[in-house]
Amino acid sequence: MGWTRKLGLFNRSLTGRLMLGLLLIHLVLIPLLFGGMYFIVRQGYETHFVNHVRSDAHQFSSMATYVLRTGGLEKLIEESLLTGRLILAEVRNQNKREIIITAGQDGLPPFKEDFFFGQHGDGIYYITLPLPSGEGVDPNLIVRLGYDEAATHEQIDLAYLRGIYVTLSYLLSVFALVFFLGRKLTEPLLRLRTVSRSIAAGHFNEQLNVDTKFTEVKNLAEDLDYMRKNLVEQALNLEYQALHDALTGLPNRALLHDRLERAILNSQRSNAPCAALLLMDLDGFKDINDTLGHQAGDLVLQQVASRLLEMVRESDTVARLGGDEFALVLPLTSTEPIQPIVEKMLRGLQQPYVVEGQPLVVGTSLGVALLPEHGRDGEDLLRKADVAMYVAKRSGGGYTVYEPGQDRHSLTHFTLAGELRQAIEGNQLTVYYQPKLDLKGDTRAAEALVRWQHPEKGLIPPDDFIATAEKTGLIESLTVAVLDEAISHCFKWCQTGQTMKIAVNLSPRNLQDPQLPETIANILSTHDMEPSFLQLELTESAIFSDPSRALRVLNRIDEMGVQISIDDFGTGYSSLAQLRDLPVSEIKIDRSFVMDMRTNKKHAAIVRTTIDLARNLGLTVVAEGVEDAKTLDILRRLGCDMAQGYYISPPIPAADFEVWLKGQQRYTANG
Amino acid sequence: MRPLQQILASLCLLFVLCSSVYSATSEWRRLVLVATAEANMPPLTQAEIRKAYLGVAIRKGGYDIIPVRNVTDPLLYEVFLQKIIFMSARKYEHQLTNRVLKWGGRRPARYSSLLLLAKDLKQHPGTITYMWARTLEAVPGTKVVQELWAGPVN
Repeated sequence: MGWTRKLGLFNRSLTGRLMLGLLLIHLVLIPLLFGGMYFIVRQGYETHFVNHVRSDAHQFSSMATYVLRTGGLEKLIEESLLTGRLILAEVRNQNKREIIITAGQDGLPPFKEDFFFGQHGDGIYYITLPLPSGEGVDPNLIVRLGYDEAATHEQIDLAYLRGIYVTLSYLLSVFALVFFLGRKLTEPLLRLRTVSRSIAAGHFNEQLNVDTKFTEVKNLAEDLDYMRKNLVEQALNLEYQALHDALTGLPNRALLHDRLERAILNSQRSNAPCAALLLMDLDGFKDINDTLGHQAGDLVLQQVASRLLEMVRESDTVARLGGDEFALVLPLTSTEPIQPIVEKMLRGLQQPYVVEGQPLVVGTSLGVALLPEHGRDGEDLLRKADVAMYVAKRSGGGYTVYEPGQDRHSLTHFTLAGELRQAIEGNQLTVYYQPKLDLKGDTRAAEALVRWQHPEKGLIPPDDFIATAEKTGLIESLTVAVLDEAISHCFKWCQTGQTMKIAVNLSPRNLQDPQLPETIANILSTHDMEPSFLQLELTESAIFSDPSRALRVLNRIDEMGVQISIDDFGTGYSSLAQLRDLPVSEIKIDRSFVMDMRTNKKHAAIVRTTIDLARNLGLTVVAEGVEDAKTLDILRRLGCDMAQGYYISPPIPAADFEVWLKGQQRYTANG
Repeated sequence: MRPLQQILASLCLLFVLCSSVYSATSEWRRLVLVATAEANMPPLTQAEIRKAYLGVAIRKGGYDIIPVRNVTDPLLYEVFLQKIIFMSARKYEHQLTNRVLKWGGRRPARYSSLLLLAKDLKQHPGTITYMWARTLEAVPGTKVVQELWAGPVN
């Protein structure tokens, strides 16, 4: 770096600017100050000299008058000249232009009387005075004296030099002081700059401790530190938001992965179980959202979160992955079994949740994967816990610990969705029929139930793919496929004299489709089928999630002549007033009440009441889940219109159903 | 030669000429003591004038002498101080202040305007001042009491 560049940088620095500013100020002040001082000092010396000369000359003239009378003028002059200051003394007669006596140095400049110091620039102050008149003294006598100005000039020059030395010393001291102070000022600023850069690079926790006595710099440091703290707070907030679920405050999927990775790192030294990953979701949570609203659903989720937190240890991690899905990472000791922990957790979660004053029982399905037994990779563990949870869900809730064999039974959501689309398009879906036995007459009816005949996995039950169809929007095409096949079969059976009603289930998503009545009409028209032979079964939650829209669609369907049935009646939260306004012709009592009505008095009372209610409302009532003759007999005695269940017939393929129909025909014919 | 250099050279020449003329000129002047023309002021001794100007009360010819200082011309003032008071200007001021503070009396008034000086002279018959004899015409109503000094000045 050249000296010019260094000088330029110094000039742009605070110290450089301070020194330059000071230099400019002193360029104005020093001449003024120095000039003023010099003027005062010089004037002092000159005045002193002039005063001395005037008084001395006056005295000399007085003494000269005296010694003229008494004699000894030469001696007076001689002694006066010895002082060195007086260098000329002369007494002369002014009239006669005659010199009485003269003494002094040789070669003096011509006599020119001075009235100011250095007036003639000859280095001598000449002065003339008359000798005071007196007895025996010629009044024309005057005295001419010359005083040497050199000593005073020397004193003035000396003062001038001293002034220059003092000024230079002052300037040097000031510059040194400014340089020192400038460095003192810039040092904390440079420190601030370094720390600010460090903060900008993301080191938010670096404290801004600047040791300075300058208030402004201290204030700046405090302001910067305040800004840093705010940044830290904001960063922590953002980090918290990025890693936590807003509804429950639990860690989210990203943080769960982080905790899982830590657990995996800890497990790398040992093969003993050191952590368990629990994945759980709530059974029937969608129904709560659909029937009670999302606010109620959110309250349930919050309560689940707080219960989980109460049940786990500080070292455990509880996370919400989204929807009703939660995950837990539980560090374990090698000897600690997971089963008691999970069972305790499930017991806690099975307690009713109170939402808007109503107690709600929500089931839980929980899958467990162990680290490192089931994997040392976070994604792999999550997938395996998901498989285990799926298995638990299939088996009606509770928990399942992952086993390698479960993989082939599990289907990931995306795989299933893709294959289901192909199945609908490739006619892999089959409709099974479950008869509805008329307990009072000879009306033939059946419920159409879809089955998926997978080319590799075999028959897949509806519970495994209906939810996927609803989530992926495939439910509409699935419903159309089922309607088409069921109406086709019904038409065929009607053609052969087996007149009967066929019931098809509708999903809540179907009711959100305003084109549904037209779609149904088109299918009926295609098969030239009477609308009155078709029944559509809906759950309470499907209707009451959006009652006004459902009512509009159902009214149009009803106007077409298609009958509407409420499925799983008693499990939802429908109001009787709303039920009254719906164009419903049939209600189906949920199997959970019917199956144990012989042993459970409360369920028996519900069944009885529902039958009475339906009768009073003029609705047909169907009891589902009839699995033995005694139940069928009780239902008959209670006045139930129709029954459906494994005792009568399980869902069977169309061909088998035709056989069953023929048998039923014989049974009826034989009385 | 360029115009700027010509101007500078001319100024230098003028300055040298003026300086030489000034230094060579030696003018004969008379320092006189004056009072109002209406007063019949007798001449004062040099010692009396000195005392009066140093704040000592002087009565002469029936007049209470009131000295006033003529500071219209610095050279005049210095000549007066050198020939009559025998002090430098600063010493004189110092001495005057000391005396007035210790012994009472009045500091001689200072006038830097001849008109005001003339006005003051007329107001009191005992008022005296000094001036160059040639400036007397500029101060009507005054008269010379005595000559104090005559000599060359430049």
